[in-house]
Amino acid sequence: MNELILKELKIVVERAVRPVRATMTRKRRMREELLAHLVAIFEQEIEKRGDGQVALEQAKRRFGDPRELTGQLQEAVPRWDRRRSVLENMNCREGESAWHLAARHFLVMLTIYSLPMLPLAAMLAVGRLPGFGPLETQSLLARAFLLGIPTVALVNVFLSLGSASLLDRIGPVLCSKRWGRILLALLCVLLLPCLVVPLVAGAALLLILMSLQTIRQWRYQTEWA
Amino acid sequence: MKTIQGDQLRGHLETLILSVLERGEAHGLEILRRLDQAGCGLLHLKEGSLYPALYRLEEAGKIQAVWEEEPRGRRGARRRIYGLTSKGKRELAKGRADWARFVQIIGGIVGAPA
Repeated sequence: MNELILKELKIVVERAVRPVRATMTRKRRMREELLAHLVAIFEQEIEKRGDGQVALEQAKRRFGDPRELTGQLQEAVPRWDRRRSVLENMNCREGESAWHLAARHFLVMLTIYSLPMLPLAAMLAVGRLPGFGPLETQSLLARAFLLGIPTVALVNVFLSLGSASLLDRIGPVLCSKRWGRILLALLCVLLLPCLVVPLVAGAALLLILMSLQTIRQWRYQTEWA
Repeated sequence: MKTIQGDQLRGHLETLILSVLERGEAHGLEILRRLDQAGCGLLHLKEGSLYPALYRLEEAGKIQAVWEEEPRGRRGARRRIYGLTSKGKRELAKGRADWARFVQIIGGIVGAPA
């Protein structure tokens, strides 16, 4: 079989599989298995008919309409896999290179972490933060924007990439069994509050402490003014 | 003799697959070959349509699949070998009982001379 025929067969498989809303692992499995089948029927046809083009047409005919197959494949995708594919698409798009993914993640994280700093940036535009001098304000914000936020965003990129690849490895093993799915759900239910509650509580505490410090400094400055 | 097309097979395909897998593990093409042989060449199914049914059965735990070790001569694409699970065997027995009941009832109506 020449490369051209193989490409034609891959196109048929791709037409059927690409529109399916499923995780990449599932779609990879569909692609490989359907291609193996299509190649095998092409080989049967070429043995019978001898002509590559005729064998290709016959193999396509035996395989069926890719659009029809897309619908049937979609029906075979469980709901949990469809939901995970939505999250997966946000995380990593099909055919996206690792560098593109890392850059996109970094920009998203940078935006997310910069948003809460916008009020501070507005204050910088006005001139100063309450309780701080103009120079102190500028230095604080410059440090936050130039060093703090990009570092946190970068760390987050590596953490999310690590967790995605970890989930890719243990996900299919756990999700293929009923007990695995229950275990995964339990872990999520137990672990998420364990991670989210301290983070939210920590952020709130930090905000309160910072506000107290600012008020204290503002009072001190007005008393000694 | 007139062939039986995919639409007529829908609803029975999963039980048909389970019954051919009872004879032993097989990949997609072999399952189709067994179906064709058992149906005396009169079952006409678009071959791609077999796989969604296999995925549904696998998801339901009625069959299990393993990747074949080497893709012999098929340009890198591997096949998956499917086999019945104990749940699949129970489902097959139930499918046979349901089919016998269906034939008995519908046959009694359709098959009865006017």
